Amino acid sequence: MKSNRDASTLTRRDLLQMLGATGAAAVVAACAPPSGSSPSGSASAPAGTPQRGGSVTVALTSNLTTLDPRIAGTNNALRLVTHVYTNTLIRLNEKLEYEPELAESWDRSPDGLTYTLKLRKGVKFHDGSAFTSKDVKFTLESVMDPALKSSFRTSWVINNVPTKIETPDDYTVRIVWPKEPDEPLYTIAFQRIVPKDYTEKVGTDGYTAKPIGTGPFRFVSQTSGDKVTFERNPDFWKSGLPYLDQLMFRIIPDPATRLAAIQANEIQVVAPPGLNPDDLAITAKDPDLTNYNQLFAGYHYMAFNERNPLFKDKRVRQAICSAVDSQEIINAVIVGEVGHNNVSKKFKEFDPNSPKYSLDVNKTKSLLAEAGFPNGIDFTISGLAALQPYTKVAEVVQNQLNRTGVIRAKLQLLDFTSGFVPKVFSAPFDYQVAISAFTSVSALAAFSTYYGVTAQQTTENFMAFTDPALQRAYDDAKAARFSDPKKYQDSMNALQKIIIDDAPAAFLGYWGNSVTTRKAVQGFIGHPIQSFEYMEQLWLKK
Amino acid sequence: MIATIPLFRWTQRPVLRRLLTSRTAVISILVIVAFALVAIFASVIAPQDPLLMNVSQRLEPPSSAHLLGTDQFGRDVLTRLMYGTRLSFLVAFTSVAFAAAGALAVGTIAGYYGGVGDFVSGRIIDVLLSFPPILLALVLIAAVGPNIFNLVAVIIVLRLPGEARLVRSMVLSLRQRTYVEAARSIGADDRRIMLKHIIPHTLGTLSVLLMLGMASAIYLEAAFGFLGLGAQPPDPSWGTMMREGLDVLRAAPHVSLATGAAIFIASLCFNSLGDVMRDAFDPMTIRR
Amino acid sequence: MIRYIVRRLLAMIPVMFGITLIVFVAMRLVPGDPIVILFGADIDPVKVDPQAIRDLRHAYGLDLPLPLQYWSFVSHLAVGDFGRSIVQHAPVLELILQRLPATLELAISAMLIAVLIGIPLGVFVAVRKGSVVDRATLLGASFLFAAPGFWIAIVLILLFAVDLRWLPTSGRADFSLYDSILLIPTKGVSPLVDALRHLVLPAITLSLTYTAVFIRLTRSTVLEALREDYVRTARSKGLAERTVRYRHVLRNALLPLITAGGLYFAQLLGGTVLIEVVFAWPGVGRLGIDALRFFDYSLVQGVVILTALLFSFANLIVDVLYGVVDPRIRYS
Repeated sequence: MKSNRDASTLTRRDLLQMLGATGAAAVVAACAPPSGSSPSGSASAPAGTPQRGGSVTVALTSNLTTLDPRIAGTNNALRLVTHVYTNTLIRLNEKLEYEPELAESWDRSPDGLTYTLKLRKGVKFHDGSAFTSKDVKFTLESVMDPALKSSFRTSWVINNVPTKIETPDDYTVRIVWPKEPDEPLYTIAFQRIVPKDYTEKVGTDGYTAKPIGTGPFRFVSQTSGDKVTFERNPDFWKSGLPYLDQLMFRIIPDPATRLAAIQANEIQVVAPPGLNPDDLAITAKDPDLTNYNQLFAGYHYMAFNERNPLFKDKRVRQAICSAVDSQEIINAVIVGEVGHNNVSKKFKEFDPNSPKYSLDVNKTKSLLAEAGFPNGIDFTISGLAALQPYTKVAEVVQNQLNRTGVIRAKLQLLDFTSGFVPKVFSAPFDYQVAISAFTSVSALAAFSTYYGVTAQQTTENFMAFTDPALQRAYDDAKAARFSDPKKYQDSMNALQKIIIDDAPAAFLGYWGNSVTTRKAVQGFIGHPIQSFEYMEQLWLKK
Repeated sequence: MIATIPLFRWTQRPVLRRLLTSRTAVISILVIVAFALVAIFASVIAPQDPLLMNVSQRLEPPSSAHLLGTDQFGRDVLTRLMYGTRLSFLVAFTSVAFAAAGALAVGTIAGYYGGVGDFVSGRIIDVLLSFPPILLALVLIAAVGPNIFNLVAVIIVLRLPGEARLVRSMVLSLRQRTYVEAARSIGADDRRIMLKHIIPHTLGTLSVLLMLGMASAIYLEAAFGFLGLGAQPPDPSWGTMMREGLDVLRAAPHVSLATGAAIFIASLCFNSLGDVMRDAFDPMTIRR
Repeated sequence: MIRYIVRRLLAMIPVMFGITLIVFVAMRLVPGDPIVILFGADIDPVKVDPQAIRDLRHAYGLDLPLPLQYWSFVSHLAVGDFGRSIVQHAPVLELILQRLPATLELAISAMLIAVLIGIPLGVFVAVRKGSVVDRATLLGASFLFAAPGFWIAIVLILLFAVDLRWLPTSGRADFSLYDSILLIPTKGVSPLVDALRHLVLPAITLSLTYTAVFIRLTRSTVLEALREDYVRTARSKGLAERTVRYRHVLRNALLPLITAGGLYFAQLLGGTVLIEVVFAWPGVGRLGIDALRFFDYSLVQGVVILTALLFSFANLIVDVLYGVVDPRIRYS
């Protein structure tokens, strides 16, 4: 659960990171599309020469509710599995660059309204039928069709529903938007392509019972709630891949059981969110196991609701920022890094010279006194219930704040969907302080949340924070992004400075998680945005 | 199993004598009293602050500084167990006591007066009893939200119907006893009869149910804490400690071993005491 | 006799209404909107296209007034339609039936263990009442009864699956026990062995409380039976102790055990949830918990109602058996 609740192993909480990504961050993408043809392999080469064969079982935390990638929510378990048997047009790789997958190249029209993608030829679905543009059109249109009840529809709606999707020939797709979307590549990258003829024939239920795609593995069987089995696709269009003969996914909600299972070699990979962080010390000492600690392009935050008069004064917010000890937080959650910024170190725009708050209780006291609260302040922190590591972060921060002696913070843990989202992210924003985490697709996207309630709007500013200086710097950065690198970096530095000073939220540290595998499993590639990980390049060292 | 109707009241010598001469009962009572004292005086006798975090000393095994080690935030486990006793016993006692009181009221009135009230309450009891307890509790907690007050309410809902039915059947048979008939014939009013002649004879069984109920309630609190549906952090409760301990079971088994042991011992004592009391009240065994 | 059964069956009807009503109301009270969850709950709800939400809500009939929703729910139930799972996009009944064999397998195995160990042990100590063995067994039974199942489960996993590596840590074998027996001619004993290996730990953990109960119950019913007059008569007739024991005592002691067993089995069916979670056993209990987390109304309703119905019927059968045995009860 939540890696906790066993039950606590709460499921789709993993989508927390999507909170930043799709909603807010569906803002500015990092990359310009490459043109020309694509390489046939995928990113990094594994250490040693990959060997063919073998079977790997991956442990998932949460249930697979459907195998139809069009309907699947952003449940990370689901994403991981759908990657195995389907492909997308454009892949967001682990360096946060867009690279070709089923689309060899793409082209943006000068006015930004039309994207033309040239599709890869000679790709076959698992039933032998050829992949052509009609499958892309079918997939995209069905996602946007309300009858399918796909949750991806909303990301299209936000980013503007295309006016039309044209297929001038079998290997060209043209998407025409009424208005240039903020994040066209990201939205396209999320859709995994299903075959038109097969899906229409068997229907959605039929597809979920036996899914088909162009991916490296073919579906073999599933037992509801227990396991799904895939076998190697010998006709996969990336020649030479995949290396494994069989890939199985097993649902093991309890983290202790997952640990026991991987130690007993019943499973070979523990998928994100991985094992209990405390068990990582055990696996680190185990000669048969390897830990991959991943840092995400995301951060833990403590947001202040400025609709509450208490937090309107910048000094109060800064005072609270000075009561936080990022090191202690990371010590408690183990996976992650100390951080004082909302821009991940993984982004090149990160400014190591940006100001930071350090633990300084005297400063807290004096700032509060200056702001008119010599006797301290009282408020309630809304955190996430039974969802690690977010719950731990909230518990530690509450403790830290109360230690100052001038802050009396109560903790209220809420279930994500039924409590946190309605109270913190929706009107009437019934919270005082909220602790959670965000992922960002790019450094600039990390600031979109704080842009404020204006025309730029892609996310509700749940903090009711506005700062014209920040907005100006943001606009400058966006304008200079592809044209003037120096101006761009200067604006990014300015943004990082402004946001620390303004302190709309306290930045508690960078987050991440871990993946554990048996030593024999090679080729694992971690991804800074969960739900983009791939398995096709895994191989077993015999 | 048809429950044997206890004919002996608490104060009668055979019952007390049996209780006090049973080694099991005495040990159980002593342990329970010890737990209760810990629960009441936790803030005085606990070695440390249950909320004091010391993250750099997390998950340390038992030592002279921390007799039962530290948890994942570096908090003293022994202290938290002591405070947890308070919460667990409070939850258990409140829910069981109210359930028993409610069962007594409902069962006596239904059994004595019969009629529509009896019928309606009987059907409601039937409905509630046809749910498997854990599922019913889960659904109810999900509906009203996870916190200790709701947990108390849910435990009451779980226990009351069964106990009420038991009280009712006892009252039904007691009503027909000669002395009751006699009392009614001389015009004693119903309330007096219930209070003086009927209820006292139900207390024996109820007290057994109370003991067994404590054991069950402590387990339920732990189970729900384990599922994250009981007391919420950072309050120390055996259930949440069980959950937190199980997360770190391999790295630091002492947390859940200690908590599990506490639950086990408390449960064992209440169960044993309840068993001895049940035998004590059983006229069959006393006749010997 | 028939009249008694019919009466009991009729009495079940309002009970079933009550069950459905409670479950329905409870699920509607749960804060959290399955429609929002369907949209991935990754985006603040205000961002979701309100029309899409309205459409979806309408498609599931969630925009009707509550009494109408209840009526629709109950009338569908009456014809065996438990509705569709909002989250898993499949008929609820189908999902439950898919998982039911796993839970049954677990419950039956646990019951068998409890009975096969508890009853003989109970008889054994009953005839040795007061001895050291008796007292030790009773103490052991108390321990078994009081132990928190979910804790014992993890400890057992650590001991037998991790440290000793004799047994798998969790999950169910590819073939059910029943199927693996059928497969012996074609696939040999290995599916059976695999099925048993996966079943051992969860079944034992689940059986602990009931084993304790059976030990004590058997012991007390045997003791009671031993005291009865007919035993004295049989003994005075000079029958061998053994004959007395087996023919008269056991037979009379057995009946309450059978009826209790029926009740406990019904309880077991509803009580597998925690064990299923810890052992990742794909049963109905886990289905219910997962559904609860996703606020999948129809699935939770289906699981709870079906289990409650099974529970009620089991109780009914037990009561009927009592009625058969003890005529006094029939006329109460």
